[in-house]
Amino acid sequence: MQQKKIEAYLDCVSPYSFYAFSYLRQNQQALKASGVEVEFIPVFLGGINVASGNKPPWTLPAKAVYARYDGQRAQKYFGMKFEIPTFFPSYHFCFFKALWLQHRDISKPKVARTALLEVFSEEQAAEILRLAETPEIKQALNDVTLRVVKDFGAFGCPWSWVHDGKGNAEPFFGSDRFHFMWDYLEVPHRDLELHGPATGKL
Amino acid sequence: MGGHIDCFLDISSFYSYLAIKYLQKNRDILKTHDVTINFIPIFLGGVNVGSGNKPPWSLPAKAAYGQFDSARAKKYHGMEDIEVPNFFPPLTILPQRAMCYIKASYSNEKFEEAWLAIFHALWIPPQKNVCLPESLKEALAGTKLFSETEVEEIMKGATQQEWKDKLTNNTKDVLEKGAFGAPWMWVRNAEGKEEPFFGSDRFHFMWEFLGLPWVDIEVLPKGSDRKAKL
Repeated sequence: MQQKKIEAYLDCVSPYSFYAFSYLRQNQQALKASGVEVEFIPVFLGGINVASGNKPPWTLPAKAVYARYDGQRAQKYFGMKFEIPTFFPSYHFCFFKALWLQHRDISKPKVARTALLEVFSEEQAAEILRLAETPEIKQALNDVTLRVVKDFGAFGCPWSWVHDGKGNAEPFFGSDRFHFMWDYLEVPHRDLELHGPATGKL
Repeated sequence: MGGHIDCFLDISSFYSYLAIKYLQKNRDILKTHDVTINFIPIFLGGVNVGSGNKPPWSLPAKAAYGQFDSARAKKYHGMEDIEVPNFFPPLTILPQRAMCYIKASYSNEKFEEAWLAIFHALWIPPQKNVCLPESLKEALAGTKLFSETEVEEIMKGATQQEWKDKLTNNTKDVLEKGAFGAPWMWVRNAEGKEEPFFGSDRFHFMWEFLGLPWVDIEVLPKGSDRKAKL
């Protein structure tokens, strides 16, 4: 592939998928200016866990305790930067928003329908929900989930498969590796810096 | 400002190596904010047993991904010389006990320099298995920090009950502080609040917690320097 591209595989059950989605959307224009395309692709994290043999981190008690700190910090970090209204309307966003900001159970058809109505008409929402139950769509989700495990090595979400535009591609896991991603894509960026106390001098 | 970072490390973890180098690199700036750092030896094997965790590479998909992530981390930290030794994973009880002895018996500067030398011996080719007494003794002597007698004393100390207990207690302490891996940091901010930080990739959260002035990673317009600095 001659096109620099980030394929971001997300499941809205994963808050870190939400952060990655938000962060990449926030940076989408800047990335485009550097010749990088971004695509968001739904996967089923439950299926990734089964196929890779991984378990969600909170199944280890010590990780569940630590996750509260890390989750709060991530929420603050990503929340600091991202204005929610700029993502509207987006069909990905309606489910992330419903689940993580409104705390509604999108696994229930009625709730999913209400979330969809933020972006789609009544007819469109009904059609989407009907298609979601068809063998073809179920198979499509299954296929992309298995693909991301077998071909891209996924064991969690968000999982990004990134093309460097020179025929190479590498995996990136999580919402905390964007500096490595920018490096790999040769996107100009400023690194994390710690400063001394303000001295009144520039 | 004010604050303190207790950083718990085992030489068996190369992310521990990255963490000690990164914190030392930022020590002077942290000092301008009255933030101090203390490095403490633990036994990561004991942390795994105590927390029920397993090293990430025990899952095949994580082992495969680890190749990419570790290469990127090494490059980011300017430590691309690091290579996994063929005797990995090492059983680090002896050198970690030795570090406990050195920490209690010598200046902090000497302790940190000695520990860095042991990290270096284990991770930078030609890697030495410093878990074996002869190799550890050689590595300690090679630092030129200790006389021949002192090296003998350190090797003796590493087998004494007092220093076995010290390592065990450090490990128990870090488990109580929620550890399931290394590097594990226990950080106190100016308000006296204390929180854990895991890994060598959460320093921005740490600076935030400590209330320090920091500038985030940011994508720059096309044509900018690849890695700009303010």
